[in-house]
Amino acid sequence: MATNKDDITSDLDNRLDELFGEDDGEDSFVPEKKEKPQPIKQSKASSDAKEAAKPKQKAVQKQQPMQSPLENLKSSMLEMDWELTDEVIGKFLSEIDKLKTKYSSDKMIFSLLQLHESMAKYIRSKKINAHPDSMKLVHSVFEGLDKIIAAPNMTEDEKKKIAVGELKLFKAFKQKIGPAVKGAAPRIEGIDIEAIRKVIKAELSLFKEELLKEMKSMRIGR
Amino acid sequence: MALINPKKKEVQVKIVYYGPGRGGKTTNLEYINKKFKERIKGEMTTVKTYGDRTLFFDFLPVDIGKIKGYDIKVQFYTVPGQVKYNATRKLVLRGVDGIVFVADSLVVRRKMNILSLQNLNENLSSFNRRIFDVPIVLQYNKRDMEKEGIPLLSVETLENDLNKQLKAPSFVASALTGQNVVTTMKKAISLTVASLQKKLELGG
Repeated sequence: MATNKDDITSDLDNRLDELFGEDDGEDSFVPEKKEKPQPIKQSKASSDAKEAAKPKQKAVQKQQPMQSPLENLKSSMLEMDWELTDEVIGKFLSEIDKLKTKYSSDKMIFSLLQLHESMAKYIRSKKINAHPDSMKLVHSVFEGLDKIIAAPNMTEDEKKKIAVGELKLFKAFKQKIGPAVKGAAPRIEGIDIEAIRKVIKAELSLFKEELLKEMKSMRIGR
Repeated sequence: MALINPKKKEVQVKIVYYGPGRGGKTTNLEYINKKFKERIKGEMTTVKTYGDRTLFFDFLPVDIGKIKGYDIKVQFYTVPGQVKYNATRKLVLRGVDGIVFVADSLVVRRKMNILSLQNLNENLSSFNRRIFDVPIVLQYNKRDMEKEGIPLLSVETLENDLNKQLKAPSFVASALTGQNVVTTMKKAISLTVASLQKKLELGG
């Protein structure tokens, strides 16, 4: 049986190599051992690559000695991408608050943070029912912010171009979803839609009861 | 469970790519589809509703051909990673024969990887299956981001977080460049078919 199993496995492996074998270039990086599944160990090729990358990394570190001021914002944004809870969105909003204080004198950064804030508030109100493009826009605004903050020498015109671009996307998004982005419950000149819904529901259930009674009496009548 | 047709000598195997949202599951399948389109005789179907996010699933059938007289067909699926689509994930996991867990190597995604693996475990339990009994391959994706200076989780950390108990084969990869995408897939097929052959007496 063991021989049979080995035969099939080796036949299968050969077939897989026939079908997909040409892709070995990239895959030579694999540190896999055939005998039994092993935890990953860096192959020589990969450790060489790592070594080669070291000076580059050091250079990057030199250019960016400090952590990005957007690091926490990015982290909570990615969490939002995964889970839309009050806690996660709250973290994102409090991070925006901190950044708004920090960048209060930079008009473009401040306005992008305001866009983020509006989006987060909208998402908080809608949670999983938020428009599927919501997070896409949050990511896009983040990219704009990241570009500006990563380039301290960027001119005001360049910053404005980025901010205006994001604002346009935001406006288009607002149009897509209607008035909901303001986060307000649907109201028409002081009329509470929820109250109307309740009345209609009550009326409907009364109507249903009456109809059932009528049908029953018709059956009895027969 | 795999579909076997002894009369036709056909075996259909289901392998699901699982993992956190934006981890690269679809990119894995897209790479395979693009690179081997001519050979795999199948067509990738992506069911999407909005934007570029996977809201339902991606599906890629691959015809392996005859092995010991049996025609082996593999169906690859990806599931949406976002928490809110758990119902879809559960649906796609039904009858799974093998799993590729695509973890995101970014430092900021550490928690999501762990949550997603827990979610996989819970969803398998709902079908009365144990994660330890399903052939699984781990892939630590987005290693190419290291070149961009983006902080990545070390392989040791990923192994410790995700593979300490599973002890499954694992690969560092970049679905974007194709690094180890095919190796991961080959290993998943190989493990899955090997696990099935005893039950199905494929060899006999």
